[in-house]
Amino acid sequence: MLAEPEYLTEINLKLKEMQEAIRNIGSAVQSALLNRQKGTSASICAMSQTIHRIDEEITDKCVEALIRHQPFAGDLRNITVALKISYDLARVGRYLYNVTQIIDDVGGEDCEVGEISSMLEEARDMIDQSMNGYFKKDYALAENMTYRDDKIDERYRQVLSKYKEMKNVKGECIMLNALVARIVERMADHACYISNESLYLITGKRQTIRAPKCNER
Amino acid sequence: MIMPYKLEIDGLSAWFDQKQVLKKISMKIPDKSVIALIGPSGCGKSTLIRCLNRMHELIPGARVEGRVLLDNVDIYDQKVDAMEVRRKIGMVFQKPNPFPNMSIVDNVVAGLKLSGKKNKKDLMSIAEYRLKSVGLWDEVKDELKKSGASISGGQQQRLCIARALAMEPDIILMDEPTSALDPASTAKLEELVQKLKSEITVMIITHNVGQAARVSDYTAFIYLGELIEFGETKQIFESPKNPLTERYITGRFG
Amino acid sequence: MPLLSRRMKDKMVKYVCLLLSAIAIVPLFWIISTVVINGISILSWEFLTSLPAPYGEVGGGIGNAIYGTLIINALASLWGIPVGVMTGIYLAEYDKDSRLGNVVRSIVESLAGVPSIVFGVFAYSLIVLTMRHYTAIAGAFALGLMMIPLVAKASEESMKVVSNDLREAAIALGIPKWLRTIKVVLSIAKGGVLTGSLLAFARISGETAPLLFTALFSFYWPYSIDQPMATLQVLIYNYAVSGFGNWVLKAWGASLILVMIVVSINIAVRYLTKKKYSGCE
Repeated sequence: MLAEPEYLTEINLKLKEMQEAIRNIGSAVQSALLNRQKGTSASICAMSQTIHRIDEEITDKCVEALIRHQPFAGDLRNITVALKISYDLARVGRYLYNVTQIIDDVGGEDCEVGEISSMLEEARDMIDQSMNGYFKKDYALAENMTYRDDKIDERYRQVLSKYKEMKNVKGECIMLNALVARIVERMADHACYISNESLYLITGKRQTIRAPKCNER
Repeated sequence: MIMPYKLEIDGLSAWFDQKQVLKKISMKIPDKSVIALIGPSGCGKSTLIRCLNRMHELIPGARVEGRVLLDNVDIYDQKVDAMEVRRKIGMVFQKPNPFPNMSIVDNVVAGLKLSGKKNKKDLMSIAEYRLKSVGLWDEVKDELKKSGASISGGQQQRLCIARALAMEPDIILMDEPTSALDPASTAKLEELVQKLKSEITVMIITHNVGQAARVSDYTAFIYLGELIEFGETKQIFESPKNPLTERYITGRFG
Repeated sequence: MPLLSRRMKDKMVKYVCLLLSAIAIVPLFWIISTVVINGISILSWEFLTSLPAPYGEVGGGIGNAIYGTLIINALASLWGIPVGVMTGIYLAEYDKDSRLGNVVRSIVESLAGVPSIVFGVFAYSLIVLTMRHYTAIAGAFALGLMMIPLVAKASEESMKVVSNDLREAAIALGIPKWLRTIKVVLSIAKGGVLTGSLLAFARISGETAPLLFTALFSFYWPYSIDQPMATLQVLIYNYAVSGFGNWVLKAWGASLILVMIVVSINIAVRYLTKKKYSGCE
């Protein structure tokens, strides 16, 4: 293992900060969904802004590193990867905020949310694990993410077909489930992108070992 | 796409008496491109290029094995004249070395004059052409008769390049050409190297990894007399295959 | 306390050096002034351009001796300088570390230490005896031989100083060795070579012993180099001990001329080397 230059250590610290922030938003949103709690979007919004702030700081630090240190090879790849991951996490933060907005707008106190709750939990875990994989430069962990993403995609399609067929269900329940499921599916995709970047960082090749299904960018 | 190889180095090894300084180096060098040779000091880069223009063998006790094919002809073949090789493979040195006893113009055409070319008009137009192509003409055109050593370091180095180019070589070798120059002259010289590659192949030794990244199309990393890695500059600097290369490029050596 | 004695020490050393330098310079000025004082009175156009008068008579001059010195020196240089330069080139550029090179260098250096009369004897036995008469050629031969080590040494040294970078530049252009040596190295070193040659010329202008039994002397204008020839040195030698007042005076005059020649060459050398350092770059 090569000793990590200081600028990379600082950037990684910020990424850890972001990971922690995502965890916090994630658990807040998770409970908001379970309880179909309205009015949470305001407090969640503040947390989401924090994430965007950290994203800007990371971009700034990366640019400074490029100017000052003109990094090459692994160090250079790490910079481009950090920029991309930072953006992915910011998107995820945004998605989580979107869920609370949907709850606020759509309501759905009486709706069934078991499946989408469970999917949200899985997607949150995928994001967390993808970040762990990046920090540890864990090849297996990163490579495995595509399987989990496949499963989320499957569950998403099932939610859609279930509510397409369902009779005697309130409109707001359909909207709640469909919209949240869609968001969760996008979150899972981002977990996949983060893992993809980790693989590039580790191997230096832009191709992943298994052609991923996460190529919708 | 078939790449025409201008120079093919095949199993080149070199010795100073008993000490082996180059170990079976093999590289295929395409035409009209810039190749950077990087690596820690004293690891064989200078020796390598001196084997390419057959200057290494002039040192007492020096020995060379292997082949170096220029346009498919081995320059070490018995029938090949070493001086002819040096006319086809020119060299520019770390410290600019214009001839102080000759004027700027005479410096440019020194190689030609001493090879027998006499026509003054021809020589003058060649000198002008070459001085223009290295970007010196405007700077010195009013003082062409002054000694070659009377101009600044950066100008002297470009004069040496013009002198080497006047021989119309196929390849020009540069041994750390900017290490004795200030930043502005360095930038000018790097620009010149980029310009030259449309006409000839340039091999440049540099200690400055950033310079290699800026200036070259291909990079070779030499360590302890061995070729560790050779490839397109973008690939070497984005994702080198050899961990030694990675360590050197990211400055973690030693 | 220690500071004071340090300053005093400095002053003492300074004065001692001045004193010793004065001691060294004084003889030179003494000689020159003696020569000038004694010889200036006889200088005249007649003195410089006419043949010597017979013993006992006043009048006449040293014209043929001046002429002869110049001729013999020129002849000596004609073969001494080229051979010296070639030797210098050989020692500096070819075989500089080989055994043969070192042998040659030792021989050249020893040659510089050989007493001048030995050169005279050598030339005498080689040429005078073979030709069966005294001849200026033998004198020029001996003097030329004396010039060789001086010129060789000066050439070698000034060529050695030429930076190796320049040789490499010439090699890299594909220029063959002999051309490199002449057009680059020698060309740059030519100042030193010229200086060495001039100094060698000045040196032989003063050598008398080798001429004593080679070129001998003559009271006539030089008409053939294959005959004895008058030279300033030998004239001084003959006239100074002659006991004839006028001839002794003429010897002073000839000395003055000789000293003027040598001093002006040395000044010329000074001027040339100074020009190199202050002029160009």
